[in-house]
Formats: sequence, structure tokens, C-alpha cells
Amino acid sequence: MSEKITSSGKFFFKKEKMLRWEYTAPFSYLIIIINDIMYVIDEDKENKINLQTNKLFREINNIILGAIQGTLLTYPKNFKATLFDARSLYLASLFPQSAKLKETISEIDIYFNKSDYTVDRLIMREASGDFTRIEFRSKKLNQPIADEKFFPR
Amino acid sequence: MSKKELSFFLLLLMFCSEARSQNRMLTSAEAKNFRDKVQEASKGTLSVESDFIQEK
Repeated sequence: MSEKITSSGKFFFKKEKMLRWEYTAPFSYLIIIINDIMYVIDEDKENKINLQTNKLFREINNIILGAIQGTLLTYPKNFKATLFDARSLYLASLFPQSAKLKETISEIDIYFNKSDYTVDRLIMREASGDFTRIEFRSKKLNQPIADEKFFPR
Repeated sequence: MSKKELSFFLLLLMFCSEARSQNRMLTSAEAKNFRDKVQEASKGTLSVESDFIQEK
């Protein structure tokens, strides 16, 4: 397993499908997803990925959107969910059902806040044994966010 | 089995029980209620702004 890297930044989501990941530490870069196009913007270059044609990125995007929008639990066609009371949080452990998805992801753990039922923590466990853990803190819901926040430039 | 070994196994058993009891599986009624609440919350969520920490 590889050495762990901890990053931090700001996250923005706007319905239906606009996401902005603003990494500020240890490196500054930006990931914007809008209308099935993902932009990865570094200091001087911009990489554009069409999620319609990139199955892995599309799946990861669907997982993140599905976790935020709750659709991973309500329409779990790709995952089997087991639900737990994990003391201060609720935990939904999702196991991929398709053989293709199992090749990359072994389990996704989504921790929900008990007071507002939003996602506090997301752990994506890969088939290789590596994992990605994302903690959301200081959440502000339903504050106005300008559409321009999701424009690449 | 010596007293020491027995104590060790008892402690191990207690540790395993404690670890397992941290997460309790929801009953089907609780699970339905939880899914309904998540769906309701997500319907009412138009935007989210948040700090994040990612470990990979």
C-alpha cells in the first residue's frame, strides 16, 4: 500500500450536478464537474475529461453525487447497502454488485449526520486495499452559490 | 490453561465484543425510516458549501 497523503480545501455542490473541489493544501488545484464534463485545473494548465466516455471517473462522480443526493441508498441498483447505527452517526456500507465495479471498488462507507442526514464522512475502499477518506466539516446548506463558481475560468 | 492465558482470552473476547457492538445494524423499520429521512434531506438540499479533509 502507498504512503498516505492528506489534502484539504473547500467543497461546493449545487443541484443538480455541479461540483467544485478546491484543493488548498498541500497543493492548490481545482476540480470542477458540470454537465458530465470534469475540469482539472492546475496553476497553468486545464485538463478536460468527458465523463460520458470515461467509465471510472463517471462512476466515482456518480458515487459522490449519489451520496450527497441520497440516491445511492434509495436507488441502489449498483450497490447492496447495509445500514448501521454507528453511535454518533449513521453508517451505510455499500458493496458493488457488478463485476466491473468490483474490480476497482470493494466497499464504500458513507457516514451520515444524525441531525440533518447529510454526509459527514465518505470512505471509498479500493479492491487493491487502498482507501480514500473524505471528511466534510463546517457544512453550510442552501446558502446561495453563484453558477460562476462552477465555471472553469 | 493457566490463569494468565484464561485472563488473556477473556480480555480478547471483551475487546472483540466491544468492537463489534460499536456499530449496530438497523432493523428494517429503522432502515426504512433512515432511507426516508436521507431522501427527504437530499430533496431539500439545493446547495452545500463545506470544508473538506481528504486522506488517500
